[in-house]
Amino acid sequence: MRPYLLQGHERPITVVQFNYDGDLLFTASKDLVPSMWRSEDGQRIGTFNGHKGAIWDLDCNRFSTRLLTASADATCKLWVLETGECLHTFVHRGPVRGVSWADGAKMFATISDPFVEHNAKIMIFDCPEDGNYSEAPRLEIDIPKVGNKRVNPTNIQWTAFNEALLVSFDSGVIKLYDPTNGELIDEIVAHEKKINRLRFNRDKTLFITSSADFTSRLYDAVDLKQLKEYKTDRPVNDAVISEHKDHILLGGGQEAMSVTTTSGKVGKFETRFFHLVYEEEFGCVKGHFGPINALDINPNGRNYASGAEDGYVRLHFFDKSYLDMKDPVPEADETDGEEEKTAAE
Amino acid sequence: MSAPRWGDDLDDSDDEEPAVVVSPVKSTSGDVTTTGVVVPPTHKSRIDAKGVQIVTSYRPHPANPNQLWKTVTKLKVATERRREAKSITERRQWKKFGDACQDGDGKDGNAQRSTIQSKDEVFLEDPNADNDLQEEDATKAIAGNLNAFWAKQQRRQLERKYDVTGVAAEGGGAATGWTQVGAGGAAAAGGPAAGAPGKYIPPAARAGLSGAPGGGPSAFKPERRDDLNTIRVTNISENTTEADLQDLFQRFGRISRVYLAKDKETLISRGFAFVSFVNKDDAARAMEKLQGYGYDHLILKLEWARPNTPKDPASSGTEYRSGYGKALAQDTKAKVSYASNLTK
Repeated sequence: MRPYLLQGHERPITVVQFNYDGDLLFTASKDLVPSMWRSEDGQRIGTFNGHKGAIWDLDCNRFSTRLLTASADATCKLWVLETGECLHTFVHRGPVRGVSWADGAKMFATISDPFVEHNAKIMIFDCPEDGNYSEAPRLEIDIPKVGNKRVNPTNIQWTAFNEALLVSFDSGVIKLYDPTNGELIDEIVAHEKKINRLRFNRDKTLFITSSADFTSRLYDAVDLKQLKEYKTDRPVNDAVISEHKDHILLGGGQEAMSVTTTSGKVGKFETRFFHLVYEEEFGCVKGHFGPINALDINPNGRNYASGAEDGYVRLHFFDKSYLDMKDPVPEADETDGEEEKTAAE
Repeated sequence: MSAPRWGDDLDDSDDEEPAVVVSPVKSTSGDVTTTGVVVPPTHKSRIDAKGVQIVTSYRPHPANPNQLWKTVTKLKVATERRREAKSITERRQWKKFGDACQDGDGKDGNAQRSTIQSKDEVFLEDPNADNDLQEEDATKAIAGNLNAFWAKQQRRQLERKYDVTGVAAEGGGAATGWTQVGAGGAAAAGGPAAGAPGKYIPPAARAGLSGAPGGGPSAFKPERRDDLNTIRVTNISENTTEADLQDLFQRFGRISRVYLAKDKETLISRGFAFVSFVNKDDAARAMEKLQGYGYDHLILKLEWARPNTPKDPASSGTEYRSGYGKALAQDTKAKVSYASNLTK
């Protein structure tokens, strides 16, 4: 495969995301301008100009009409996808770390970093179609300091049917909040170190976490039980569950800080392919020259995009050999018996 | 003019440029006008059952106005039907906005485009491959991975069949009963233990083979059965894989095992292999037919594998006593010249 290099950004990529139908690709970086691309040919369709800070997260709604971007300028902006017009700016009290549409796209949740005297906050905003956006959030959940330490959230996601909000933290903890009254429902220690990303599969039955503790873990979204663990030898920045195959794509690499102090060859800046069930790594795709910060696989399973610290987004189209690839089936006992018989004769 | 024939210059892949055959055709005098000749319209044939369409087009000869160029193009037409949501089709019509308006198409000195296709081909590589071998192409990498998977599985099956896992544990070495023969540098420590009483004896060995030389019924050793049907193949080229050998030998009968000796570090073939047949007759036939067989620019040399006698410890390790390094055969009794190995 010869990937497309999308050179729309000048700073490290923070997030890449395909829309629900898989025809659009959104990318955001630490420069101020999120971009939208066509996923079939990699052409840039538009940029969303207006933020004054790094973009930490973005989310496109189910119907591909609106885009939300979360920025370090303590705002979250709502955009019209077709024209790139900014409909509204939701002001926060700290850098906005994550944003997520609720199922149904009638409301969304954001998570903001602690800032000066403010704690980290989850905010849920209504997003009516008539355009009457209220400044005040529908619900505000304050996340207090633990002891004297500030807690830094990294991601926010809605569970299926908007039943709960999953928030991951840089301490490796995942907390589950009730979106109606803001109560803490559950809390699990998922990793020993920072959770860089938390992602659901499409039907929200599983989610996968990527952590700086060199592992990525697959959880059951209903009972929050760990199902699988994918071990690597570098911090994992993003992991995504393939919809068409039982595969996991992992992106990572050594921390950006230490890149300059080590040789480029040992960087391990490749996208790694793991088998979902066997937890075995079976492939890797090289190309980036910085750690991969963000990954997403097209819901149609034909291509995937990776964005890295080097500022490039690479849009890869899978080879036929990958698309046709059959997963090895574990040894079956019936065939064993037959073997035995023929050997005996 | 000669019509293009199948396989001549037709490329089957649909995304490639169609093969073009240009042959000058003299027009009849009736067609000649003052400006030269009448250019007949382009004719497109129907798409036949194989998806091939023949397009015949004409254009005037650049030098001679009385002649026509006739171009016959054979096309393989492939239609791909893809269903997509209506909304996707609508979104295709969206106009560019923001900075994307300045994106040129990269042609004719337009502003540089923001999307370029990588010049390098990238592959899904096998992460477990040795670093030196990573120039392999993707299909090989994947296939190799699956091969490894199957090999592992086969190994497990064999282990179960011959119940050698215990032996390996007793021997304390990495060698299992059935890998010893081919083990170029593997420890031979597991060997004698295999004859321990109460061991599972493969059914094929229970009745037969008792008359075979060196294999008395009481002193039965499971791995000896293997030895008798095992051919040692030497002078194999470096590029030969176990699968190649399997291909080569399986036409003579059922093969129980192929072992290609590889260098531990580089994984490059060391130029010899062991092939074990299930039946001795098959092995003998293979021996007869393939002795001196020219395979991949080298001439194969076949001999029966020596019965696995415990060697003196000095020779069984990874140390090379020959003084020529790993390349030279450690077996000095059989005076074979390993020219191919020395050239490495």
